[in-house]
Amino acid sequence: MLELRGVAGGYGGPQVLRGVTLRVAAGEFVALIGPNGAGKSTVLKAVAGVLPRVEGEIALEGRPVQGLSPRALLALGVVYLPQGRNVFPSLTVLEHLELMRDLAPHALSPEAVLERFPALRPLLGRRAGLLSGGQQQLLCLARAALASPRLLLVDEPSLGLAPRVVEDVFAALADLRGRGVSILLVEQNARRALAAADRAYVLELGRTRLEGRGRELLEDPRVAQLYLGAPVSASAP
Amino acid sequence: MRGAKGIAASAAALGVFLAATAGAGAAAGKTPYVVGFINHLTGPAAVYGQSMMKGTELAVAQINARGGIDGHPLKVIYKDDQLNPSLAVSAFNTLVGVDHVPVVMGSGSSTVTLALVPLATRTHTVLISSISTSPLLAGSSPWFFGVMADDNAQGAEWVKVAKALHVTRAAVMYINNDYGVGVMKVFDKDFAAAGGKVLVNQSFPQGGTDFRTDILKVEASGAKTVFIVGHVQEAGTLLAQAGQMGFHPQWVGDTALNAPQFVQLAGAEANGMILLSAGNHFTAAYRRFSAAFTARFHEAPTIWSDFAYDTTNLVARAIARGGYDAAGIRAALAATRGYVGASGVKTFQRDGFTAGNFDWYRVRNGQIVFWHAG
Amino acid sequence: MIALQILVYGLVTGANYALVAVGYTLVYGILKFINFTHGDVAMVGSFLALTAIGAMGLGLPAAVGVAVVGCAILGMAIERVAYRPLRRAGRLTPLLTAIGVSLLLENLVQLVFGAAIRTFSPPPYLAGTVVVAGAYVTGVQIAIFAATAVAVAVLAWLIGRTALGRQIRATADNFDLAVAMGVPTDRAILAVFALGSALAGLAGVLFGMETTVTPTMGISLGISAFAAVVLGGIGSVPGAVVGALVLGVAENVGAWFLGGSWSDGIGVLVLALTLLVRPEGLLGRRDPGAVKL
Ligand SMILES: Nc1ncnc2c1ncn2[C@@H]1O[C@H](COP(=O)(O)OP(=O)(O)O)[C@@H](O)[C@H]1O
Ligand SMILES: [Mg+2]
Repeated sequence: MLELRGVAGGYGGPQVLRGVTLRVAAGEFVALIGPNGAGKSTVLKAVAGVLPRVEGEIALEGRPVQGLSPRALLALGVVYLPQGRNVFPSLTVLEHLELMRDLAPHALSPEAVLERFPALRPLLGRRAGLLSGGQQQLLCLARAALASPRLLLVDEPSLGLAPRVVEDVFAALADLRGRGVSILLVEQNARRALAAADRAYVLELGRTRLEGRGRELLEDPRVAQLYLGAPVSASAP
Repeated sequence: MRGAKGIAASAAALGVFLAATAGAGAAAGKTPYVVGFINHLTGPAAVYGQSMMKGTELAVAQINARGGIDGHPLKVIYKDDQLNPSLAVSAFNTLVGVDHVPVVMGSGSSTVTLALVPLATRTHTVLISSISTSPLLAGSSPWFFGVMADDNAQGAEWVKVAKALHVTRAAVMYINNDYGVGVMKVFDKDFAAAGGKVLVNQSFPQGGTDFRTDILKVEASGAKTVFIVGHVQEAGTLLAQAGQMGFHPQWVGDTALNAPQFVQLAGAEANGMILLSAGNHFTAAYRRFSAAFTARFHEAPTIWSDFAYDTTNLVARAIARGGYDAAGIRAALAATRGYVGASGVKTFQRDGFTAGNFDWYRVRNGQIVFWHAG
Repeated sequence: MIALQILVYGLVTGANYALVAVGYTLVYGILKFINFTHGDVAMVGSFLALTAIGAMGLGLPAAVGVAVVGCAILGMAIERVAYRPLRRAGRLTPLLTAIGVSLLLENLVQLVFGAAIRTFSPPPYLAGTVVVAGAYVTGVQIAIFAATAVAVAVLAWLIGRTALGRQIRATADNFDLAVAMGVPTDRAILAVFALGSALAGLAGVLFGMETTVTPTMGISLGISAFAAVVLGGIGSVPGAVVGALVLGVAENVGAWFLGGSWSDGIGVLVLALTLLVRPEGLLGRRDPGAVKL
């Protein structure tokens, strides 16, 4: 589905990405973890077409896509959820869904999506700025689902949410994956991400360092020590 | 009225044209005498500045056609102030500091000219205005000269009009700048002294476009006669709006409104209006000027063109008599007595203004026609 | 009824300001800067109508069409040529560009039409006057009220109820997110300039029928409309309309009690008072930004 080979790039200053190589197979759920400032968000931006400078190869189903605008990528079925509060405060919940319906070529109807996100139904007329953080994140996922994407790029969806809401978010991601959507997830909450993902990559200083099945990496002492808060073991390099 | 009159005018125009062509070479020999000109060439008051520039251009062409001033061609540097005093000040500084002119002709609006007076005093430069008439200018500087009589004369002239109309109660509408306030104050005092009563003095803004509430207030005062002082644009719009509102008093205007553009703007409401005109326009000198102007510009002169024409000729005459330096020009201007210009006979008083006299006009069927010698 | 008459005049003045003010507020909402060329776009609208009626001999409705379409195109051209290249250049740069474009428009129009003051008369079917509760209202004034009401209603529908309107509001709310989501933000911004400029063109025609037309008329029109925007709450469309009507009435009440020469001063006073007492304006929010409807 998605393949990055030797991707470098940044914001105009020093290079932030210096060699990112990763692959997301069709229908696969891949997590990208790593320390703060490693460049995880920057990788998603490079794929989503919002990073000012990108070198290397980014291919979607074998077609090079670097340089394409978010709008062109949306037409190819790529939906990007940036880090942070991804709603338009003055638009209502329904208007968010209508906004996406007007943009995505294979959009579902708002009604079809509301059946999958029943919690949003009573909030349809409310301005998104007045929703709780969890409701806003659900709205983002509903909006993404409405586009019926083939690839979802999602950046820190659990950030700042209560544990119960984090579970709702991961349930929604699992549901999307169940419908054949490929997912590339960036998460600080590495433990939760690795538990949910089929495969994962570890990013350090702008380079993909480790790769493995989600559960393998959970048990990898290097990962455990660096990102999962495990006690430092003598076998660490 | 002011247009070219048939064959005689065309012949005169042709004569001037030939003279201008022939003389161009004659005046080219010696170094030019350069003088400055500052006026509203663009912006809301460009109507005035453009017509003054044309009067000046005509005078310069004729002077140079006659061989210039003792063989020196007269050259004018034109500067635009857009009715903005600070632009006028910087234009003046350039003319005096860079071009070293001994005399500046300008500006039109009293407000702008007043801003130049201190500079003229400080730099010992002659400042001669064609049509600035604010009483604040009178005696403001030994270097200031005004070719049109000041507003004191105009306000007093309105009182004469009121007497001729047997009017004892009237309203005044004045534009809120030095010019309008000057005329309003003089009329207010002189009319009361003559036993009249001003029902309301209503100001309206320079650059304004909507005067309906002002008109409403004047109408509510019960005035049947309204004296109005302003610029063409505002006053013309104001009369048109009064007409739309069904308010039809006897209007009496100031000299600044004696212009076809005003009547065109005011529309039917201008009919019957009485307008002043500074100077005398039924003279041989005016007819010669008018014919030459029309021949050169293919349009009739406005009532400001002739004053600018006279201003330029007075300056040239003063250079010829006093020499090409500011002190000499100033002395020669101050000594001017009984100069017969296109706009009337000019004698400078001690306060720098010429002694004035007025003609009264009336608007009939959209035309401004001579009515009465005031 | 003099009070009612003053109210009518105030509302007519205000309706014209409203049409111009809406354009300021829309552009501010989406780009966070004051488009100071806007008053001059209205001026161009007046001259387009003048040309349509005078030189081309068209009727008023066709002249309105020419002015509205012409100004919409002009507004889009200004955005495309003067502002878009500077979109990431901070706030001062577009302001300086705006001054340049304003001077260019004023001088171009003066070059083509001359400095003379012009008027265009209303068509015969608007020349009449009706008396409402003792106040005189002319046909032109009724047309101004009606045209303003229709234009503002159409705008409210466009912004509040259509796909384009959602995209405009999304772009105004969060530009970066809108880009990331694939919202055609350039088109939304162009649309805002087109809509605002079209209304300014309409204002230019209506204002021209009520008053006079000069190449510099856009300056004071722009200042008044800007004061109305600040009064109503910058970024808020209903705020711009309410602010304009309040300012129009205040100017005319002031003209009655203090003299017409005070009306500009009242605009400045209202501006200063608003900034001191309630900087977010009558209908604005503390955190300006979004286009609100
Ligand atoms: N918009 C930006 N402009 C310039 N530098 C940025 C920008 N965003 C992030 N960076 C820099 O890029 C590096 C990686 O950031 P980011 O991708 O956000 O890391 P992560 O998501 O892994 O925490 C950091 O050093 C950060 O300072
Ligand atoms: Mg990040």
